[in-house]
Amino acid sequence: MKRESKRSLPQVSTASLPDIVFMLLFFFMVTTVLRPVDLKVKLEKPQAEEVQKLENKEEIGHLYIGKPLEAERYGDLPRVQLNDAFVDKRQLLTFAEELDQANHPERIVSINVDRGVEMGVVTDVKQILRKGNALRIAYSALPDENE
Amino acid sequence: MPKTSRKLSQVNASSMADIAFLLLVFFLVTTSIETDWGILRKLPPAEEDPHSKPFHERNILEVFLNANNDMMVEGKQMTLSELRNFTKSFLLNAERRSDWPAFKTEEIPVLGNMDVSKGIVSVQSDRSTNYATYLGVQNELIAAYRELRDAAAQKYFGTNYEDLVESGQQEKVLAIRKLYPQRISEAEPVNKGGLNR
Repeated sequence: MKRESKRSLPQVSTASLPDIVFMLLFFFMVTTVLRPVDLKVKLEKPQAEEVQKLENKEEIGHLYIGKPLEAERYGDLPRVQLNDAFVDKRQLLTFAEELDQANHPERIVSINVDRGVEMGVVTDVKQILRKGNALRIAYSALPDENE
Repeated sequence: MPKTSRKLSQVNASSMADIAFLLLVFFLVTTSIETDWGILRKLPPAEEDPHSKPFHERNILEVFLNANNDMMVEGKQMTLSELRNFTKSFLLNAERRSDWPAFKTEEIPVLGNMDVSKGIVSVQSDRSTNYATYLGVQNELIAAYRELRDAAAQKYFGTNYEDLVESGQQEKVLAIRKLYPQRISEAEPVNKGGLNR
């Protein structure tokens, strides 16, 4: 009788490991969105109970209003940041007009304001949005569970 | 010379896993699953003729915020926590006071002829009012409307307003909205108090 040579334990095949990892990768690619922007302003969102989830992340224009992080360079007054740069009134008006909410009703402007900012800047921004006919807005806030 | 046939050597696939892990870590770091939350509002159009729609003072709930973040509602100073219930009473006007909103009988599908309040809430803030205070006021006003709508939805349809929206019964949702139309107006801000800018 032939004696069976001692068999070493068969090696676990690692060929399918990359497949598993790719599946995880695709899951994350599908469920997440690239973080839109690096904040250049100090932003602490206030809390509110009556917030709704903003669907359709691609069709949201984000405005960030707050004190600049680099105060030495940009000063201490609150500035308005659109996407990744500060904007002035003219650029904001152009943005509002180009949003073309009349033909694209799903587009909204999400206004993220730091809780310490005073209403003057916010009102100016709202007036410019009204002039540019971007009427659908959302005040961004964190959900507040406390009654 | 004998030709030796060689088996094709297998490509080592172990480094594929490393590449995939790197990509995964990259995506985990640069993206976020966080949802954006916000209070949806609709601004009034810019070119508004101030004399187009005459409104009566009794229909307007005036909310003033000054530079000190104090709130005055209909001439009386009030704290934020009192605003919600006052707004609800104002809009409901159960006693039919003559200095509170009038009603208009409207034909609402599903509900029939109902008395709809003509009430409008007007919020005016100073330029130096704190944003968090202003948002708190907006929050309370929207909560007041939501509670009124919830009560109506419970009374007529047996469910609350949010569930009604999620169930997709559009006609009922529209009926409740017509019964309590959300009219929150934002007046031009004043610059009375605060620093000289």
